[in-house]
Amino acid sequence: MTKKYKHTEAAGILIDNALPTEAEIDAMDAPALAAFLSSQGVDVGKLNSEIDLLKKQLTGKMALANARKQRFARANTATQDDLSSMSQDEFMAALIAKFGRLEEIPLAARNFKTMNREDWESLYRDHIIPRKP
Amino acid sequence: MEESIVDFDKLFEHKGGFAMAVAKLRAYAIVVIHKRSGPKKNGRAVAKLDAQQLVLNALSRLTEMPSLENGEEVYFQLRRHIDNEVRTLQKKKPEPALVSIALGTPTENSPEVAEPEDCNATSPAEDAERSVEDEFYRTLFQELYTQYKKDSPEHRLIGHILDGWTERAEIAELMGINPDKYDPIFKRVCRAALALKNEHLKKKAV
Repeated sequence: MTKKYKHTEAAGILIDNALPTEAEIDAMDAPALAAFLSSQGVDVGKLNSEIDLLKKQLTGKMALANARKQRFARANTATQDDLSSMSQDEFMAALIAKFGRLEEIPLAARNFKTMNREDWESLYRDHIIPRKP
Repeated sequence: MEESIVDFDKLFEHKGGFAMAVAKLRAYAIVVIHKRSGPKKNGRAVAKLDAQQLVLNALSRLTEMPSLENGEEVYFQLRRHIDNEVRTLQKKKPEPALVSIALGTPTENSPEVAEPEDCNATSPAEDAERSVEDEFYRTLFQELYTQYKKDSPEHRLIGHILDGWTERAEIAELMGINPDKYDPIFKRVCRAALALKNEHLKKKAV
């Protein structure tokens, strides 16, 4: 033990051992816990009477936090229209209606040969479906 | 309005329900305050903390937890919040006082102040604080001694602890008693020391 501050260190040992450990607190039953809290000046009756109010307040806080999370999630999720029922001909017809001629459709220079289903849906979403503000 | 999102009694059923969990957290907060309080500035601030408020602060952070399915983990996290709040206050570095050390512009013959020797030197301010703290506890032990008759087991026990003995079996042997007989004596002295510490801290606060 460091001689210089021996009183501080010795006091630390005594004080640590005057108090229950975490494990001892966890193991306390209701009477033992009430006795300890009372010995520390806690009004155990008052503590018990406040439990219901505390539960309500916490429930309210959780509900509010949850509602905020959901609102945030809704605002950030892009709504995807389901285009699975549309055929390639229908995509092409809609695009021709918009651009006037087949040649004016973007990617026309590729003659649409390399386009897959995903490309058609992407083209349709980009040029036909109005963007949400 | 949505029904209760979390069943707190179910969440803490491993602790005996919500009320028991809150009471245990309160007990834990009280213990942390006792252990981390002291005669230094931050220690005195810790002594003034309200255990109930610490518990409420921790519980309000339930909304930050990613999951509330594992009650054991939630309980441990709440305990960590309590300890972290107290430890942050205890370890807070004080703002150094800024002192003006030079006025006006130096002239050709004005004396120069030498730079102090560098790092790894212990801070005199910190040393002074530790000495004040030790003096506080030296006074506490003086008073603790007076509570017991000279040569009583409690008196001798205090002496051994101050001499640096920490092992239960060794102290019991030095005292010439059975370790089982040592335990209640040790607990009595510990509680008396804690009561004196709190009393002295209250006096300092006034």
